[in-house]
Amino acid sequence: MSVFGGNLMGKLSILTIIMLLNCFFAIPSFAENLLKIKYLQTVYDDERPTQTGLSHPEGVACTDDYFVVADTDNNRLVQYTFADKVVKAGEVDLPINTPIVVQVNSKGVIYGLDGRDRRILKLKADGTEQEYLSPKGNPVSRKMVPRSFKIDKNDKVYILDISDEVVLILDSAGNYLRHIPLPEQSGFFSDLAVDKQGTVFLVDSTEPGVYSAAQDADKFTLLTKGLEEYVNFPTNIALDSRGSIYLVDKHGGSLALIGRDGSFLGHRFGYGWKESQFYYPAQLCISEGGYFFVADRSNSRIQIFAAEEE
Amino acid sequence: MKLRNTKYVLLLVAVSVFLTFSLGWAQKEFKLKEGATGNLCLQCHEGLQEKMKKPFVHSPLAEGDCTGCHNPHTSNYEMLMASPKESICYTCHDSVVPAEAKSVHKVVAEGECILCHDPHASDNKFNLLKKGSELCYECHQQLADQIKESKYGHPPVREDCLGCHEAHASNSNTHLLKDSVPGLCLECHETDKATFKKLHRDYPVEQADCTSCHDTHGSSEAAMLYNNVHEPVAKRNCERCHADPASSQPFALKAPGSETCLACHYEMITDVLNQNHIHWPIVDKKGCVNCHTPHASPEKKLLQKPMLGLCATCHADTLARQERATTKHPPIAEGDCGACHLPHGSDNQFILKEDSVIDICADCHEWQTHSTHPIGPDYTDPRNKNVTVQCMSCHRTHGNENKMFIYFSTANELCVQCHVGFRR
Repeated sequence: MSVFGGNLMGKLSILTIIMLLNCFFAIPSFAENLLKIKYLQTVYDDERPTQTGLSHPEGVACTDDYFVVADTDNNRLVQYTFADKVVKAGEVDLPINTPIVVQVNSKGVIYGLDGRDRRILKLKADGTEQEYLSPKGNPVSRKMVPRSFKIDKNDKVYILDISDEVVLILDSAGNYLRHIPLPEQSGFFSDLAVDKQGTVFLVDSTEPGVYSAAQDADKFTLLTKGLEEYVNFPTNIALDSRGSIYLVDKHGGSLALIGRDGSFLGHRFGYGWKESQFYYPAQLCISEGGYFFVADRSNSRIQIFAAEEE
Repeated sequence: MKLRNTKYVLLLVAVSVFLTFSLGWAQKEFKLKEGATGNLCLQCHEGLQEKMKKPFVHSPLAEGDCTGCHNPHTSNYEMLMASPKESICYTCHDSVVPAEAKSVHKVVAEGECILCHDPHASDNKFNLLKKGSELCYECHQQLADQIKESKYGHPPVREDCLGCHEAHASNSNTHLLKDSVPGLCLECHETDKATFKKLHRDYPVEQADCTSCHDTHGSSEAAMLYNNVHEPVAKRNCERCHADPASSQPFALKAPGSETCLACHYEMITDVLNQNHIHWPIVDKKGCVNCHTPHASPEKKLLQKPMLGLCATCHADTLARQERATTKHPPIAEGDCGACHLPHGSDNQFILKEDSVIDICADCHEWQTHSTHPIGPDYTDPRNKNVTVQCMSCHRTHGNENKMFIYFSTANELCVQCHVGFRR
């Protein structure tokens, strides 16, 4: 007797198993597709009496309570609180040359990448203490040139060093922990991201692709396939709390959503000047609570969005 | 012995049976009269009869098997071909391109065999349309001029391209080369001669890439160097950048990345490194040689290749946008990216030459700066209070699918983005 030749109960059991299996495999990817990013508001200036407008901001770091903007052409970092979705600017500007990437650690220490001198400046929120991050005990770095950097939940610092072609991993005190060589046979890497499990992700801008290296892995492997068909020039990468990957497609003026398996899931937003549009965006930060902060560089503003399940 | 003879006999029988059956199949398929294959076609196609008198006739035609390539009744392809012209030759000649070929002649990859071969008959071996290099020059005209006009010619190149290159594909070399460089060069050039060693300052160049200095197709520079030679190379001062020739790593650089170049180009590089926005490849591991070749180049400024192709190595998306563009922007179409950008770095966004986009555009479009839509720092963009109206508010300078590379398909659609009161 064939499998499908049994009684009605047998057929129903098989159909039920098939449907359950379908649900099991379909639900996670379905959920990944269903994330909706809703526009909240835009920050144009420092909200002080002089109302100095942001000028080509290339970086933004965030938590659910506050965010810090790398106001690139104004040579400063500007802090804002974000309580109950209300934005309020801090009173102190933190001066830094051409800041292009900004991060904050769990203790509120701010790290800014000085784009002109290509050094990472560490500073307290009140601007009272400042020092340049200088890796200690680093066996590989001849002359570190950080293109970008990120800080994980344990305050480890991950530096994309394009001079030595490594991702350099330091503890919160700047001590060398380990390094991972950048992949060979690739284009130019512009940014990196780290998830909660310690997996490091790299984005290749010129031969568009995302690479990953699991915690303790000694090399990167290509995660995506054929990404150049979907994105123009991705220069920034961020992860949401579920681990979904977002690329800032600078020349395409959009966010590209990539699945954990490397598949391209779609674009969010598009090129333009109106709110919810981007004009050569630079950096995306996603807070634990699902707020998206985009340094919309050539629109000279920060746009804030909230992720919602549909 | 007997066994070997038996094998040959069996092979001969198999070939005969195959030919008989294939012709027989054609006859059967088209229900041709006995002995009509081929002959029937030539009754109308008289020109072919004359052509068949040529010394080299394509074997199917010689055997009267016109239906090997053509369908005598109907076809979806030109010339009643039995299958697309891009693939029909591969029906028989399937080994022309090795499976793992490192380089393939573009026309071969595209199946354009008839650009070189006459499918019926020719005066030349392999049914080639022309003899020797003259055939190659049909497409490679610029190279032909260089070879003919260069003051210092390379004799094997002037004799025949096929001395160094494969016609169809190269299994293990780039540029269709028959052997690797320097292996190919060493077939003629004796590197152990005293003169050779002296000219190369005792560096073991027999292990290096000769084409990093020498233009193998001929040049007007002595020693067949490329037309633009880096000064230390011209003065044979290799030690200025490289380690001692007697050292264990004679080709090692004295300093890594751009630091080697810093020794001579100190002022320029220091100036670049102090710009607010640097072109990042300058400070990566390779540094200057990402774009420049350190020995000699056919391009000015020792660029690795013409500027447009060089920039497109990384900015392929930008070049693709220009190629799709309905209206071409001349500086890009002409490969002059430096008309607007400073390739090393700048204090301005997009490493532009000037802070104001309007001023850059004015270099070519001066009229539009004063007789146009209001633009400049006094006019805020209604879509965004933090930006002012300028050329790029309406035009995507690298091009798009719309005329004059405006952002929308019609001018009306563009204008109502700001002038919302006029929206229909």
